[in-house]
This record gives sequence, C-alpha cells and structure tokens, in this order.
Amino acid sequence: MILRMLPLVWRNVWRNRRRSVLTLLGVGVAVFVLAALESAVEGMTFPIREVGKQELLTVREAARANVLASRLPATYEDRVAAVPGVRAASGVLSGLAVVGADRVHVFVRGVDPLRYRDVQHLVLDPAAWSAFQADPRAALVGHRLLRRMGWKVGDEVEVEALRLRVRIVGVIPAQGVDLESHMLVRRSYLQVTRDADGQISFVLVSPVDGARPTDVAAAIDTALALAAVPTETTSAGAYAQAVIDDFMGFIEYLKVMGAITVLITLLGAANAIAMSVRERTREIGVLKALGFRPGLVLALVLAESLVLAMMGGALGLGGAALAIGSQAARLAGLMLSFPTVLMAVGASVLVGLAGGLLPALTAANVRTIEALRGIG
Amino acid sequence: MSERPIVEARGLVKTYRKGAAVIRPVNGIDLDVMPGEFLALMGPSGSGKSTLLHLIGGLDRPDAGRIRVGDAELSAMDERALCAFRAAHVGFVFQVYNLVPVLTARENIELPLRLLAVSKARRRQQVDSALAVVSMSDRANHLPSELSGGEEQRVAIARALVTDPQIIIADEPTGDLDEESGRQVVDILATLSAEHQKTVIMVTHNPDAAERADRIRYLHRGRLVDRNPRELRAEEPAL
Amino acid sequence: MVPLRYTFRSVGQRKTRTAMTVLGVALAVAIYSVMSAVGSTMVRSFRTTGAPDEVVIAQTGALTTEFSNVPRGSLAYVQTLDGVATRDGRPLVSPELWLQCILQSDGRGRDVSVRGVTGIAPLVYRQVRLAAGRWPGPGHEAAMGRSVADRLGLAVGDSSRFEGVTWTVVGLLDAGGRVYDQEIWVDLDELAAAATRLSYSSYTIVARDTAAIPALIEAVNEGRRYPMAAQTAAASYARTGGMEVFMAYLGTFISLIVAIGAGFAGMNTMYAAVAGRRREIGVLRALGFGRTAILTSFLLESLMLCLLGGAIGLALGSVLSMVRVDLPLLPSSHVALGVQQVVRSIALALGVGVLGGGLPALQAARLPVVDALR
Repeated sequence: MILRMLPLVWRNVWRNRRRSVLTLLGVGVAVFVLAALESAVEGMTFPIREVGKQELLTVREAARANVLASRLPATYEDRVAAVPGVRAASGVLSGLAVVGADRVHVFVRGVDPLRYRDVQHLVLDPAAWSAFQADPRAALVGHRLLRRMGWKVGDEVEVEALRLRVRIVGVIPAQGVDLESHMLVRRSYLQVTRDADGQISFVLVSPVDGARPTDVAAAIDTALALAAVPTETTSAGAYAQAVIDDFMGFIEYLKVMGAITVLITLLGAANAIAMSVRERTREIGVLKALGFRPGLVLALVLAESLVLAMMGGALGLGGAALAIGSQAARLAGLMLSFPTVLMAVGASVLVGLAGGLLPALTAANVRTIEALRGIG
Repeated sequence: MSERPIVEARGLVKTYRKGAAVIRPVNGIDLDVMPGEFLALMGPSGSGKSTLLHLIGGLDRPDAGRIRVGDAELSAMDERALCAFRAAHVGFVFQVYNLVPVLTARENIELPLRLLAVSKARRRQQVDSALAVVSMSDRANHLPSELSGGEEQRVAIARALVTDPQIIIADEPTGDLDEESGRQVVDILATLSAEHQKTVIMVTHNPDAAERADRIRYLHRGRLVDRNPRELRAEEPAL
Repeated sequence: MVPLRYTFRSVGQRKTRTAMTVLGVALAVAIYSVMSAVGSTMVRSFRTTGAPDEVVIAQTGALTTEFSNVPRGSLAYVQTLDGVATRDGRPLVSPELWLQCILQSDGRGRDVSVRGVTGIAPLVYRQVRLAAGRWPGPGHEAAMGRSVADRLGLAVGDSSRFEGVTWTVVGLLDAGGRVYDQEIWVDLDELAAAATRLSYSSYTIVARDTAAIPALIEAVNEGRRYPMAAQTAAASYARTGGMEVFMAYLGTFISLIVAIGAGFAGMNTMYAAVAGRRREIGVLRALGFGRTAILTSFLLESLMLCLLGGAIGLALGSVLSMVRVDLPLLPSSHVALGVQQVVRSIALALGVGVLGGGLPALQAARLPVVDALR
C-alpha cells in the first residue's frame, strides 16, 4: 500500500523546493561532520584496532592511567609463562614515533623472536624470519606501514626519534592483525636505544587450548598480585581499546558534540516537516474524507520525512567520501569504513523518524471536518 | 466655480503575461474624478477593476498613458516617490486581510501616521477622531481576531482616513460581509464623500452598494463604459 | 521604520516554530561557547606555562614527558652544564618523574597527573606558590594543584591513594592557571619506589639568563653521552599541549558548522513566516512602507530570535562549563565563560540571524505590492 503512495510522497517532498533543499543541506552538513569526525578517529586508531582473531591476553602495569606508559620488569616474561593456563608468553617493549610532515604514527614492537613466534602466529616468509632472528638490527615491517613510508625490503632505515637504525629484512603481509601497520624489531636492540634495559611494556600471552581466557587472566593477576609491580591482564582487544581511549582522550567529548549535532539537525528537519504538514491541512482532510486511515496518513508524513532526511544524509556522506578520498585526507590517514557509513545512514534515519514523528501524529489525528475548512 | 478633477487619467494601459497568453485588463482608459465624488467601478471578476484601482492608488505603474492624482504625476514617479505618495495622499480599504493581525485596532489605524513625521500627541488625536467617524472608539484596543468582519472593515476605513488623504480607494469593501454589515460600511463611505468632502473610489460587484455612489462606471474588456455590460452583451450580435 | 511593536509581536506569533528556531540557536551557541572557552583556557594554560628562562631536558624522541626516560646518572652532567643558574651555590636543576596515575577515590579510579620532585623544586618553579600548607617531603606527602584539588574535592589533611600507597595532602599549590595547577607533587624518590621507575622523566632548568639558552640547548642536543634533547620550557609545553589544543579548536570548528546548520533551519522558518504574511506585507507596502522598512523589519525579527537563542545558549553554556568534567587534561574543572566567549557567542548568534533571516527578508522586501495583495 505504502509503495503505491511513493509518487505522492515524492511530490510532497518537493512541494516547496527551497524549504526541502535547505533541510537537505542542514542534514547533509550534520552527516558530513559526523562522517568526517568518525573517519578521522578511525584513521588514527586503525593501526591499533585490528588485533586479529587469536584469543590473546595482554598483561600490563595496573597502576598506569596511560596504558601506553605501562612498564614491567623483563623478568615478568618468565613469571607469566609459569602461570598455569598459560601456553606461551612473550615480553614486548613498545615504542611510538611520529614521523614526517604528515605525522605518520610508527608503532614499534621490540620482541624476542622465538618467544614472540610462540605466542603470535604470523604468516611470514621463512627466510625473512630467519634473518630477523639472526640480525639484532633487523626489522620486519607491516605491509601498510611499508607502503605509507615508501620503504622496501632490504632498505636501511632510520627512525630518528627512537634512535633506531634498522635493516628491513621482511614484510608482514595482510592477515588481519594490527602488525600490518607496525614495525617489529629486536627487543634487545630497542632496550638499548630507549634506555630501557631490563624492561618491557607488556607481556603478550597465549592461553592453553580449551582454557577460558578470563580465567587465565585472573590467574595471572593473582599470581603477580604481591610482586613488585601489580599487573592487570585483559584480552588483547581490550588492551587495544584502552590504548585508543587514552590516545584519543577527547573521543567522548567529540561523541557528545556528534550527538548534539544530530539533535539540532533533528530540530531543523522537524520544523521543516511540520511547516509542510501545516500547509496541507485541507489536502489531508480530503485524503481522510476519501477514506485514508489515520495510520496511512501517519505513514505518508513519516515517509516524506525519511526521504528528505536520507537524501540529506546521502549528500553529506557523498561529500565526506569525496573529501576523505582526496589526496590530502589520505595522506593524513583518514579512512571511511563501513561502520562509519552505517552510522551516517543510521543518523539520517533517526533524524527522519524522530523529526517527522510529531507532525505525522498531528496529521493523522487532524479532524476531517476542520481540515476541510482549512483550520487545524 | 470650475474645479480641476482630482484624478485625471489618460490612455492608461496595463498588460500581463500569463504563460503564453497576453492579458490587457486595462486597455486604454480615460478617467476624470472630481473632488468629493463617490465613484463606483463595476464589472465582472477579472475585468481589471482592481488593476485600475491599483494604478490610481500608485500601487502599480501603467505600461502606457499618464495619470495625475492631485498634484502628483504618478506615471513619472519612481518606487520611493510612490511610497511617499501613498503614505500621504491615499487611503486604502481592501476586501480582506486589511489589518495587521498582531496590532490592535488603534495601533493599526496609527500605522500610516508613523510614516509621516507626526508627533505622538497629534497621532493620538487623529486616531481618536478617525475612530469616532467610524464609531469604533469603544473597541479601539481589540485585536482584529476579536472583531467581527464589519468592525474590521470599519477600522480599515478609519485607517484610510487618518492621514487625511486626497482619495480613498476601496477594493470590494463589502465582499466578505453580510448584508447588514456591508450596508453599514457603504454608509460610512457615502458619509465620507457627502459630509467630509473625501473623494471615494470604490470597486464593487454588489449593485446595492454601487447604487449609493454618485456615479457608476463599468469596466468592459479593459475599457470604461457608462452602461451595464450585461445590457451591452445583450445587444451584441451572436457569434 | 515599521514600528518595533509589530516586529516584537510577530515574533511571538508562531510559538512552536519560534521555539524550535530559538532552541536550535541556543544549542549551537551553548556548545560553541563551551568549546571556545575550553580552547582558550587550554591555549592560555599551555602557553603561559614555562618561564622564558626555563629549559626542559627529556629523552630524545620521547613523545611526552611520561614516555621519557633519562638515566639518573645524568644529573651531575646536567648540573654542570654551562649556562645553568645557581642560587647559594646550588644549581637550579630540578629532576622529575612524571606519571599519570590512577587515584582511588569513592570506589572508582580517577586519572591524575603526578610529578615527583626534589627539594630544589620550589627554587626552580618560581611561578608556583603555596596557597596553603607546605611543600611535600618524605613520609608520603603530597601537594595538590588547586584545579586537581578542586576536581577531587581534597583539602589539606586529606589522604589520597595511588601507586599502592596512601599519600597525605600537606599543601595546596597555586600556579596561576599554568598546567601545574592540574598536578599532584610528591617526593621523587618515594614515587619512583612506589611505581618501580628507575629513571627520571626529565629535568627542568633555570638558565642564567635568556642569552645563555641557545648554547645550553645546543650542548645538550649535540652531546653524545646521554640520549637527551633540550628545548625551552615554552616550546616543550606548547608541543605537549598540541594535541589537546588541536582537539579544542576542532570542537570550536564543529560547533561553528553546527551553527550553520541552525542557520539553515532558521532560514526555513523565516521563509515560512514571509510566505504566511504575504498579504500583511502587501498591506504595509500599500500604506506606504518602503522596501527598506520591510527588509529591516524581517531582518530584525530574525536577529531578535537569534539573540534570544544566543542568550539562552550562553546561560546553558555556563551551566555546562560548571559540570565537573573528569578529564585530567582539561586545565580545570571549571572553564569560565569569559568576556571573549560572551562576545563571540553573541556575534555567532547574530551571524546565524543574518544568515537565516537575510535572504527571506530580502524576498519579503522585493515582493511586488500588487502580487502580495492578490
């Protein structure tokens, strides 16, 4: 039934061209802002998020508010490995440098090759892995990072900020892990350049097959509760999320801004639809006299509101996609991901439904006789 | 005592384009109106009565011909000059939606005075006397929504009067009213002409209203005639 | 020239429509004022921190002080650098351990910034004054910056727990809006022990005079013995605050865009108003009110609505800014709306008014009289 009414809905949307265009623009601007913000956040946090499907745990320093500042004694690598339920444990020293004019974030992980391999299953060229094991100054670079920095396998590269001079012996190909945007170096070397002798940032843990990760995590923390540095063990995914949250302390703030943006747009859209309904009181009366049930009238107005909002959303999303696809944005690392698109669509639908609800209810409940007289 | 006509129009033409068609509601009109005269203009709807009225009142400019009202040569005046002219010399009464809904009767009547540099005290005086002429003094502080149709029109007439204009132009003043109220409105207009020496030009399709005027002229196909067009049509050969 | 009475009352007519426009503007102004206030407070906080004669030494390449490690052994080297000021024979070099800790309060963890200092600190940080009590000494004592004390609701005599230790508040610090107001100062060695940190984070140095600074910085940067880098305190804090300040400016920019959205909505309302009052406009023009008068009247209507929205928005913004936001990076829990924010917010409201009302008002003015009366 409603499908047959689509032509009527469409005509009503364009009844007042200027008003519809203005509303469209309003929604478009809001969606553009939302999408752009989300993309910026996505871009900045992508190197951290793709933790992979393995159920790994991260043991970090409990007292640190800033997760990235976590420091543990290197001896924890063995202590954690000894906890029942732990299949393998690998101590990682992490480092972060911001390089170049486009502020590329280079995440570095200093690892012990054998122990790391036990925990983190990586698909790698065996020759590359051997070279990594053999040379204390070797580095394995994730394919995304490699491309971003314009490096090649075999290059001698320098990350000045971290005082690293390494030789790229292999690339980490695409396999759905965060390492694709990271650089793996030898822990012993990184400890020297960062003056972090005897220290690691966290311990990466692979639980025994069949063991519940939460149980193993609890066991680890209990075992180390009385040690020099109290620990907190979480899933690797949770750790990544914590890094993001610290990294982008203002995400909450921006989310609030986003919500308010949607709210204001809602008001604007509701206003516009309400005006449209008011103009059509007589027409609505005729429809009802013809036999249109209130439910159908409600659906018509809501449909109108939705169409308008979604067109605006499409406009905003399109604009965002264009902006993000541009050279400048890509260099800055902005990414338009599917969840962001979904969110933009969702916001448009929300604006359309919520904005059109009150006018739709009013239209549905208008008293036919009054409407025909042009009042109400 | 030969008086000069207060309104003098010669060869007025006004053309409109409606899509592809060209319409000429005023097609070569000459008109003289004497001071203090009560003139009724009649004709079927769409015959150009309102257009002619707009031209006389300086609301619109003719495409050809000239028109003089008092000492003003309207055809030679620009937009700003016409505004000033209307403010000082013309009083308007329309069929509906005359009054500004958010202002009271008194405030509506006072409106034109604010365009002329009239002191507050004098404004009050003039509004009061205008209210008295139309017998609306006791309803002065009501909003248009609180007045009946007839009362609204009376306030509109008071507003038309308040600047002591040279001519009063009424476009279908009885159009929306019941018989009694309509009669009262025309009474006032007639009194303005007879007792206050105001020139009143009224457009109407109501024959009873037109009867009260000093002179009736008919608009037929863009031109003014003296006889009722219905009579004229009866004489036309069938095509 | 159209009486103000008319403008006022017309505004009061369509109550719901008016309310929505006003609300829209109010919200936009509210966020803008808060974001703008946060932004400028932050900028001021980071820009004023760091006296012109101070130099900060940290680990080369460390992104922030917290990630910086300098070996304790370098203290003697730093103290004997050429250009370091002295007082009573003591070099004005303050070694520091800077950490973000989790403070246990009311059963939840709150993020706090902690600076471990030594006895030389009061001599180096001359802009930091004691607002109450005394400087922290051994015995797990802490001095709180007034902003963080405010945020946590702590006063002299209270205790606070972080790094597995209970610290007693023995003093309150007043740093005049600088970042130190957000920090908790404790004894460096005790903090190092509690947090198992073997190195310092950084040094803050007072130079003999500003002329000596460039040479001092170069000496540290060129030095081969320790992987340390030096910069003026002002530069150091500007860099640290970079991210936060950027975020704050981003917030302001977004609120501006939101305001434009509100402007579009306002435009809609005004167009509807003009359309609904066509005959009215015709009558006014017939009476002799000129185009300019009509234009001004409608523009004024729009401006009035927006000013009202702006006033409400400012009130809302004041309330919002007083909400205690638990973000350790914010300069203080209260971000006061100063004169600058008020002026800018009003300008924004007026801007929206002109944007939203301009074109419709123009349309109203350009309406040919005869058409309007039809």
